[in-house]
Amino acid sequence: MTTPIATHRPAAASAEELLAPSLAEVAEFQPEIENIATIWLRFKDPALRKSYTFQPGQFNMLYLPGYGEAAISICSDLKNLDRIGHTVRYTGNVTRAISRLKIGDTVGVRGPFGTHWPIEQLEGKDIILAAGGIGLPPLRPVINHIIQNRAKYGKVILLYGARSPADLLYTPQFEEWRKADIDVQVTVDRADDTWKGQVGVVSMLFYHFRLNAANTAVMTCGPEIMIRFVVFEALARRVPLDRIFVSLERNMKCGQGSCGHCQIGPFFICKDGPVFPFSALEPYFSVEEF
Amino acid sequence: MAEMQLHVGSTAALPKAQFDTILARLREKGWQTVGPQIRDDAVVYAPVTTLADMPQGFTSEENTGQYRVVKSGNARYFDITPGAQSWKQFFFPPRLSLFTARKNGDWKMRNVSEPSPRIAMIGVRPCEIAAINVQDLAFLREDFTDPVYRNRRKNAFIVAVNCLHPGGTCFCDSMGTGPKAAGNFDLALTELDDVFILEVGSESGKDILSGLTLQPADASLLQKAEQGLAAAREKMGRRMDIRDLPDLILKNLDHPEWAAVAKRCMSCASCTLVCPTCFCWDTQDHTSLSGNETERERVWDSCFNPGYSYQAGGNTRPNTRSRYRQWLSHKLGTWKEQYGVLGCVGCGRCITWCPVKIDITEEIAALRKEARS
Amino acid sequence: MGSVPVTASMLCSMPIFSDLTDQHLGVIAAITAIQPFSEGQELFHEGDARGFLYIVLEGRVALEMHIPNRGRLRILTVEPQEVLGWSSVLEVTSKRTVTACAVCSGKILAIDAAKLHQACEKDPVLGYAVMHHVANVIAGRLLATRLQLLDMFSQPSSEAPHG
Repeated sequence: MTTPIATHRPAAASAEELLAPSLAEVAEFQPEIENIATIWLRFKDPALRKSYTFQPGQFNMLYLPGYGEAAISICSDLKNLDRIGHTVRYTGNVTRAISRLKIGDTVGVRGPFGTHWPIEQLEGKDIILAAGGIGLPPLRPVINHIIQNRAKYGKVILLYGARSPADLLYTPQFEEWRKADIDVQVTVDRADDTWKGQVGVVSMLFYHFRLNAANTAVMTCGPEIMIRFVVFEALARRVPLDRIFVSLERNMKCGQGSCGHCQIGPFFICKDGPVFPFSALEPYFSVEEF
Repeated sequence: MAEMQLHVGSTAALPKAQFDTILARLREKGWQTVGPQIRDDAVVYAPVTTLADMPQGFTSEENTGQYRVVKSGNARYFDITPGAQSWKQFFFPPRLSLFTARKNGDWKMRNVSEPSPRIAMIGVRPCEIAAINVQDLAFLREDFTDPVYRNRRKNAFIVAVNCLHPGGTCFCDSMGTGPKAAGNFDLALTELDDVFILEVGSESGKDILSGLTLQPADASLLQKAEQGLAAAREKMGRRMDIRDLPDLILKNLDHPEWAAVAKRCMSCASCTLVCPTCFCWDTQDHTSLSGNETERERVWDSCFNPGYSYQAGGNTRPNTRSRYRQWLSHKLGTWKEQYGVLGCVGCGRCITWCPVKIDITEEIAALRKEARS
Repeated sequence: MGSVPVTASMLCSMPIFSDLTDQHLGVIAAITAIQPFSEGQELFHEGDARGFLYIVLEGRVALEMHIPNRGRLRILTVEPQEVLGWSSVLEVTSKRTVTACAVCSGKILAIDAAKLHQACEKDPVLGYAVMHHVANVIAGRLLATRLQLLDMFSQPSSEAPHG
C-alpha cells in the first residue's frame, strides 16, 4: 500500500458489531441551505458516548431503519464528542429520509471509517484548503483543529467555491475563521444581484496569491472535476504530489473494504481513503471511467 | 500387515470401498458431507452420503460458452471438472440476513446469529482450494474479519481431489494452482482406476482416519499418479502467460481491446457469479408496508451491475466498456496489490459460462498486441 | 479624473512586468496612468471601442454581459494584479465584449492601448513580450470559462438504476 496515512478504527468488542449499527438519537437538526442540513447525533449507549472518537476526514455509515445506509463525512469539532455532526445533502431515498428526521428519532451509526486528513503531520507548513460545495464539511474538523493550534501552522488559506451564493455553506462561520487568521477566499460560479464577492471557479483562486511550494500542503474536497483542477493548479505551482491530499467519494456500502463497491484501482476508498495523497492516486485518477 | 502410522504428509492407498467409511465418520462428527452430483445435466454441489452419489462414469466437456456432461466410458468417480457452482456459496452465502429491526415506539434491533453449519467439502479441486485461499485473504483480514465467513471456514473439512483430467477451459497450470493440491486441505485424493491415493493434509484429516487400516501407497502407484498429473499439465484446455501481469493490464487501461470486448459483453454478470474468487456484495433492506419492521440482508453483487458504481451525481462506470475493464483489471491486475496474489485461479468457469463466448485467456493475449510496456 | 502618471520604477516591482527590460518599462510607463475608481463605476461598456488595457491594483472589478430579458449577468471578477480588457490589444475584438463594473472602490493601472500597439509595432521584442502576456491572460480566462461552463456543482436528476 502506498498510502502513508494511518487508519483510526473503532475497537469493536466483536467482529459482529462491525456489521450491525449502534443506535443514536437525533440531538439537533440544523437546516443549512436548501436541500442541506446538519444532523447532530448522540449515541444511546452512555459508554459509547464516552468512547467514540474520530479523526478529521473520516465518515460514518448512517442507517435509517427501513431505508438503508448513507456514507456521510463527520463535520463536527473533536472538542465536543458528545454530539457528532453530519452535514447531509438530500439526493436519494436515505438522505431524503434524513431530511424528515425529528429530534429524538433513532439513527443507526457504523464508524468511523477511513483515513484522515494528516493535519497533525503538517505542523509548520502553509496549508491551503480547497473546497467546493458539499466538500467543505469534511474539511471543517481540520479548520477547527488549525484554529485550536494556530501557532503550529504557517499561512492558512481556505479557498471555497459553490455554484451560487445561495449554495455556500457555513457562511456565518467565515468571520470567526478570518479572526483566527485564516484567509477565507470565497467564490461562486454564478452570481446573483446581491453578490459583491468573487465570481469564478474555485481552482482559479490559485491565481490570486503566491505560494511557497517547498513549504505548502494542499487539502481538497469537492466534485471530482473540481479536485482535478485544484490538483492541476497546485502541481503547476510545484506543490509536491505527496503533499496534495484529496478526499474522494464512491458508492460506499460496507465501510470496511469488503463489499468492493468503492474501489478505484487497487484502493478501497472506505479503507485506503477517503483521504489520499495524490501521489498514490495519480496513475488511476485521470483514467476516464476507471 | 501392520497398521500404517499416519502423520501430516503421509500418503496411503485408500481402497474405493473404504471411502464411505470416511464419509460416515465425518457425519458422525457433525459435518454435513457435500460433494459433486449431476442434476439437470450439470455438476452441482449437493449433500452426498456415499461414493455412489458421486458422478461415476461421467466427464464434462467445456469450451467458450459450452458445457456438457457426457459419459466417460470408465468407472471413475471424479473425471468431471467443476460446474457453474463453486464452493464460495458455503462460506459466503448468496443471501444472508444481517439483522432485523422493529419499531414499537422506538426501534429495536436484533442481530441474526445462527449456528454456523459444519460442511465437509468432498471433491474440492486444487484450483478451488486456491480460490478459497484467495477469498480467505479478502474476508479474513487483520483490520476486518467477516464473522460469518470466519465461522463457516473454521468449521469446514476439505477433501481435495487432484485433477488428472482437466477440462476444456482449465488453465490451473498457467496460474500455478493445480493440477495437484499443494496444501490447505485436510485430506487429498488422487483417483486411479482401482484405488485412491490418499494424502493427509492436517491433524483433522489424520484424526478422521484413526483406526482405519491403511497401506502406504507403493512406489508404482505414486508413479502412476505423477505421470497422470504430468499428462494433465500438458492437456490443459487453455493457457495464460502471466509473467507480465499485473503491469500488462495497468499500463494499458486505454487499449482498444476494451472497446472491442465491450461490443460483445452483455454485462450479464455470469462470469462474476460463477467465479470462485469474486467477493463483491450489496446490502438490501426489506421493509414491511407499515414501515415498522425491516430486515437488512447481504446479497452477492457484481461489478457488472449498473447500480454497482452509481452514486449521487451519476455513475462512475456508465457503460460496459468501463465495467468489463474494471472486472479484468481487478481480477488479473489490482488484486495483486490488494492481496499479494492474482485473483484468478484458472478454473475456466468464466470462459465456459459466458453466453457470448468471451475468453479471458484470449483477452489477455489481445492486450499484449500493441501493448504499452 | 484623478489619474496619476507612472514611472518605470513603479512598474518594475509588479510581478506582471517582471520580465521586461528597464527600457521597455520606460516606454510603457510613458503611456500609463493610475486611475482610482469608485463602487459601481463602469470602466468600460460592452460595445465600446477599445481604449485602455487595464491592470487592477486594488479593489475588484466584475465582468458582466447583458442578455435581453435576463438583464445583466456577472460572469467573472478580476482581482488585484490581474489584467482587464485584453481585447484592447487585438483586432478580432475591436469592440469590448463585456462591461467592466467596479464591485467596490479601488485603483487601476490604465495603459493607452493604441499607443501600446504602436510601440509594439516599432519594437518587436516588446511586442512579443506584451502579446505573450496577453496570450497567457486569454488562456487563463478560457480555462476559467470552460470550467464555469462545466457547471461542476450541478446534480443529475436520475434515480439509481435497479440491479
